[in-house]
Amino acid sequence: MVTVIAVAFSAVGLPRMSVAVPPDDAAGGAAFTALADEFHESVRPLLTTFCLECHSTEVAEADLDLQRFDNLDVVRRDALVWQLVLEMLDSGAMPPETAQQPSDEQRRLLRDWVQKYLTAEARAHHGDPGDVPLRRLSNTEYNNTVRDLTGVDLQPAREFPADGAAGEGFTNAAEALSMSPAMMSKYLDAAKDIAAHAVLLPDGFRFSPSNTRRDWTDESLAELREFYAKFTSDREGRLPLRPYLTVLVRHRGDLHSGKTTLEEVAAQAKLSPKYLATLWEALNATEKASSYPLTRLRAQWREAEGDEDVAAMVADVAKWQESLWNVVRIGSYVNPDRQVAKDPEVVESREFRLQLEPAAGQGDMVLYLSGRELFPADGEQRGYVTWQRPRFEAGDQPAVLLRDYEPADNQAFRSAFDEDSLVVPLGEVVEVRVSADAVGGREFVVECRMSSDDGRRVVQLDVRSSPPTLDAPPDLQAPLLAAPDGPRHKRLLEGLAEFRRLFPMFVCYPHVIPLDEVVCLKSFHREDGPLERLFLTDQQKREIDQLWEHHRFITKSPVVENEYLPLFIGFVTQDQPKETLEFFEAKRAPFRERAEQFEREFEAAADVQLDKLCELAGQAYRRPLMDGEEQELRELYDSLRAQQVPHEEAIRGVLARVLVAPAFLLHMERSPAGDQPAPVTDWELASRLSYFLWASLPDDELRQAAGQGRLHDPEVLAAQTQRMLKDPRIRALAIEFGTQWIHVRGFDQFNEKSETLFPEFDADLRTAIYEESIRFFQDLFQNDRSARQILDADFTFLNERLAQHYGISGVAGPEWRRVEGVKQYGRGGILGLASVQTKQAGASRTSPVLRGNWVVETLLGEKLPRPPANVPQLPEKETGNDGLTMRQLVEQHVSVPECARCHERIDPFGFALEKYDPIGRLREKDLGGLPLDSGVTLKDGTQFEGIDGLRQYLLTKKRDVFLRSFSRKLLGYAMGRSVQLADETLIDEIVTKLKDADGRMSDAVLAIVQSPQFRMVRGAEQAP
Amino acid sequence: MNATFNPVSRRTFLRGVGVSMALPWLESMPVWGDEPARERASEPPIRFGVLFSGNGFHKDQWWAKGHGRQMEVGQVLAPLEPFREKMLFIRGLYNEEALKGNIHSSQTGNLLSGAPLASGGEIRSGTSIDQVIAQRYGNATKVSSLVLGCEHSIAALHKNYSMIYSSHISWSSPTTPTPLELYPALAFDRLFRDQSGPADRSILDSVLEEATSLRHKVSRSDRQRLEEYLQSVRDVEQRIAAAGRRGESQGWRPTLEKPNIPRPPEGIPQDIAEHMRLMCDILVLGFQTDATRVCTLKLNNDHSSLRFPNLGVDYMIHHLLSHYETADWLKVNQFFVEQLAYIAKRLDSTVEGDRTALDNTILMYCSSMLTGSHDATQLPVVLLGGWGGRLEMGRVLDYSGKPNRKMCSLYLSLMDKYGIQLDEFGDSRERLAEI
Repeated sequence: MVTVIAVAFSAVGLPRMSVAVPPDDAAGGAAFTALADEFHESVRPLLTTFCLECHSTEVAEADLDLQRFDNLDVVRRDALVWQLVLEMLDSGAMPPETAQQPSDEQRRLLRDWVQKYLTAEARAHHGDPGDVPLRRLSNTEYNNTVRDLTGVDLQPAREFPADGAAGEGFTNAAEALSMSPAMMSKYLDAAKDIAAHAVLLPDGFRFSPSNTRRDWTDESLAELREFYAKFTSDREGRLPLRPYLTVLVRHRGDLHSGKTTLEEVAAQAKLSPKYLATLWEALNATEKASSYPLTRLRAQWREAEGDEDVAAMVADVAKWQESLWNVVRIGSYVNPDRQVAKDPEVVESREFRLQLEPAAGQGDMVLYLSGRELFPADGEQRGYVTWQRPRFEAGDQPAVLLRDYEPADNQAFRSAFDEDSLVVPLGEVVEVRVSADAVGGREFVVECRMSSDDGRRVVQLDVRSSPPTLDAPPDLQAPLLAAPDGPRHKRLLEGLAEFRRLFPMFVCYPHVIPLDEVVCLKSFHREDGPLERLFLTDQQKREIDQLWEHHRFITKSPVVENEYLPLFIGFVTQDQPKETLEFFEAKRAPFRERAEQFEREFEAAADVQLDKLCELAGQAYRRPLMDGEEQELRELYDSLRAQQVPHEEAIRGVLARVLVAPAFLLHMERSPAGDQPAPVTDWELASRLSYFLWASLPDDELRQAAGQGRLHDPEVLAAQTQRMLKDPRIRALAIEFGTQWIHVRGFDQFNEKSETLFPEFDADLRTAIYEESIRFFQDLFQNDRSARQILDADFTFLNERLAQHYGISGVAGPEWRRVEGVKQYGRGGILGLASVQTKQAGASRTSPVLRGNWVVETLLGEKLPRPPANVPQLPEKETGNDGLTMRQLVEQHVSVPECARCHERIDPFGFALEKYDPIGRLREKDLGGLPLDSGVTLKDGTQFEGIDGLRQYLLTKKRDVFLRSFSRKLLGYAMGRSVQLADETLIDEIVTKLKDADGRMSDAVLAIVQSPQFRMVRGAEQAP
Repeated sequence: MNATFNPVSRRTFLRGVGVSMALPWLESMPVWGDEPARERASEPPIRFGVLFSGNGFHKDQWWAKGHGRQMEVGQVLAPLEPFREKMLFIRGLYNEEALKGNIHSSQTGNLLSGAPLASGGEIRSGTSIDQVIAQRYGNATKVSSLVLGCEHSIAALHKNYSMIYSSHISWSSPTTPTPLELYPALAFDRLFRDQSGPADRSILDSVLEEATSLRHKVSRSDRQRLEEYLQSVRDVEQRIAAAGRRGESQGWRPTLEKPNIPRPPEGIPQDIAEHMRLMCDILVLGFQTDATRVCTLKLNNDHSSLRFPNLGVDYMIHHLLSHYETADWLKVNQFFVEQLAYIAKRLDSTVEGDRTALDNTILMYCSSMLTGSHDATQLPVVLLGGWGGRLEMGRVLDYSGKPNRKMCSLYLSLMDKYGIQLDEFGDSRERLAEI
């Protein structure tokens, strides 16, 4: 065996670099001439001496044949082999120890030549976009794209087979995103399912989180109710008078003086300016003549000062409303409206009856008979009211006339009577005092009428046992004495009507569904005329009209009601008069017509729905539809209809078709003819940008820039990039790039810890730990932190659960917040993330090797060979190991020289993190109670202690290496492929920017999106 | 109907060509009905099942010796004792390409194909034996093949190889790992639920036309990916066309008309034992109902992170357990082999004529290394069942040290039996004479 460290790389399948990319410039040409000479003179002889024994054409150990490189042209056809050679030389793995070794001088010569050659090659191909095979959307991209396309987060790929990683280790890499029948089958099912979430509307369609008409109806109901609730918080939809009166009273002075305006007041109090103005005008109106009940209300308004006065006014209005409105049932189409105007009854005469029930021991009882006139005209002669035969009745016993009640000698009393009746001027009260003994248990009865010539008057009469207040408002629930056609009666009615216009009892019917019948025929009831008239702007009117129109489409209520009518008729025929039955029988024809009309409308919406569908297709395809595409979609609809597929299903079918189209599922890019790269179109650039930053499709603004052909303008591109970095959708970059880069993506599902040892490591904690990592990266990009902060941030994101886990106090509640000054708790930066420490540990113990390996490979970008077979066993628990810590055990373990070679590179980094337990908590002692040591000495003699030391080491000695590793990964993610040799100059450029003290995340992102790699695509005939 | 687009006529065209639809992407694919010779008789078809578990086995307890009823087996294989007469224990086979990368993923992604694996962020293996068989005969059944798994795949690179290789042994083309179905309910649906709606065929026709028209607009390298898309659409279309069909050899009917277990609950069971059991049930059900004849069940990944609280082994994940030959490792091995035994038992109690369904099945159980220490120089292989009685079981075959000891030679032999005669497969041009 040559060596225990086998070559971890196979030359087979290394991506080959095309030699046909950009022509070498003059300087490049000269460089290659020199390299060719050197190769011939000194390099090839070295290869022959030290390498070809194993890597000859015949033996080709590890599939590597170096013999075939007999001149620079052959070398240049396979540049990547030389990257491998360089790695092997640098790691010291080759030539193997057992083989003949070159002198230091020879080694350096060989190494320098390879390095020089690779640099020249990188320069020569600078900007090569590389080969990115046509790829499907990754599952995340698919989820996000569907979310942004439909506005609903349906997560259709939730149960798709997981994507694999390729390229630089990301799931968006083209190599891994192949299509297969199983995937296509999932896509088709998902497309149909998404289409089933489309809610067809008269003016297009929308998407719902649900796929049942029942739920859509509920959503639509909620929208209607939400609309109404903006205007009245009352469950029944009562006029919301109090807030309006309150602000009017409060600002009355300023409004009058012009210090403020109604609009301002309304805006401030979030009230309808329209109703506020209407009310203001009505209350301040100058009256030509008094009216009920407004005159009275205006008087109250003028005097009103505080909340109590407002409350009194509101109470009064409520009382009037009670008198002047009737509420009826609306569930069966018999009554069109729930709220019906009610005027007081008008009679020519009235009878009063009053049961006399004296209290125990009561001596006298007093009755008050009063009559008063509404709207008396000035100077008019007083009118008289006739109280006819006032008497006390008691069942079958003869009645006792009031006239006969007093002793016969009381002439004064008698003379007030005209025969048996009293004739009294309006405005006077007759007070009748009777002995409780005499009349107790009897009923006082009296008829009354106006004197014959007084029909023009409007009079309110009253009989009661307590003194009346003549200036109290009239009781409009009681009948009035008046001539129905008389002018004063008309004036009364006008006043009442005006009141009702201003003060409807209800402004709308917020239940929408009739609640007042046991069995409803009517599915929904719209009664919002008062709201529209008094509150809504034109815009709002259109809005509520549209909501109702949508509601009708969603519920198909005309069809539903028509189908239900026969059943309903069957129900109402039971125990109901014939007229009722006939009423509903007569509804059959109009209901049928209404339903048929609706069906016609429903299908007639196809045109506009298809218009919208084509619009959506353009968005889904991330470019305008091409010639014939729109027509094809319309024809698919027609052909489905021709196959008897109903309208709704046909629309869904076309929608599903858009969602399985290659232009939707694949990242389609046109290849320019020829073998040279060319810029991508603005639309393609928009897609590259949005999938890089958001893992989703371009939004409207980006589409606009692309549509106007401005996106390729570097300034526009930069501005869009900056804008998109600020957008919350940048979370996708945090997850897909950030957490994937540090190997913690999907940590919420990470379930590899011993439940016995770590019962607290539950789903909640995992989710919290993961969320911290995501938020950390999101913050880096969104708030454009400096690259240094990736490691050096002294802040992190916490909620109570995670803060508790970290032992940081003062963080209460489940909401996330940024917490500063966390380094003192061993947090901050990616090294301080529990996700990293937990992932790179065993189920029951820490693993300095895993953590060290993570630092070496992920942060420093070094490649390590695989571990040899048959490594000695390490105990799996931190307890019971003869008083040795895990670090001591590992140190023992790697004392074997052949192990030490790699472990010297790896383990110190892991030892520095030993003070984090297997689930990422800071600790001073291990699970066995042994004190922990996190001081380390690297192979090169560098010494440091713990996470702070490691952080400092990475920020200083390894700054460029770390930034290079980060930049390489970001570029690989952005491009969806492996980084290639030709990318080296771009990576140099990014590192240069980032190591500047002010080098920010946006510098890296901008350098990438403005690079030729990102903006160009290889030619169709360019070799892969 | 517009002249430029006429789905009805296209549909008619497809119908006219009928079920044969000589499609260009699989030239080797026969028309329906062109099944292996023996199946034209009134005999049940031969099913092919592959079970995989990662990270190898307890090396001291993976052995068998003797013949038939006298065969003795190591403790790992104890659960298979009742089936000794129907078992073929094979030792010493290996896969040349799997020795190259020499890390988990690089010896798993090509286990069933023997193909070289691409590294460095690329993904390329070879079409696996299960998919070769499925592509040849899959049209006889509703579902050409079922590829199931019990562990989520890992999205990362490991030592320069994509972890896709760790979780995918079934490949429908060199660049297409067959996606694993992890959800028992969805696997069940794939076999038994016909979701196709009236519009499906028109939808697929329409996108096929669109994709076809794009062929000459994309670059050479993209054309292959577009072709993948086209093939996938055609495959789904064909499945819809075949919905309702069932695999029927003349005169033979499957023992089950429809599933005899309820649809499994949504989601992935928390308990690994329950998850595996459901997947085993679905494999058995697929064979019993003849909804499919090819099934690959990946019980876990190579480099697996499963823990086994159900066995009291919760302190260590499967991959790390595999590094040492401990009693717990043996216990976990047995748990996996029990899954195979369970399937065998269920199939063996399904009577098909004068044999059982197990006799009419080849179940191959394998891993990508013999032991957890990444030793791929010999692979653990057990075959269960019998070729309708024509394959001599109850034997132990040891190829250690023999010149012809390639896994792919075994595959060539197995495919021969299916009437798929290939000159070479993976790294082999020879057959195993004893199979």
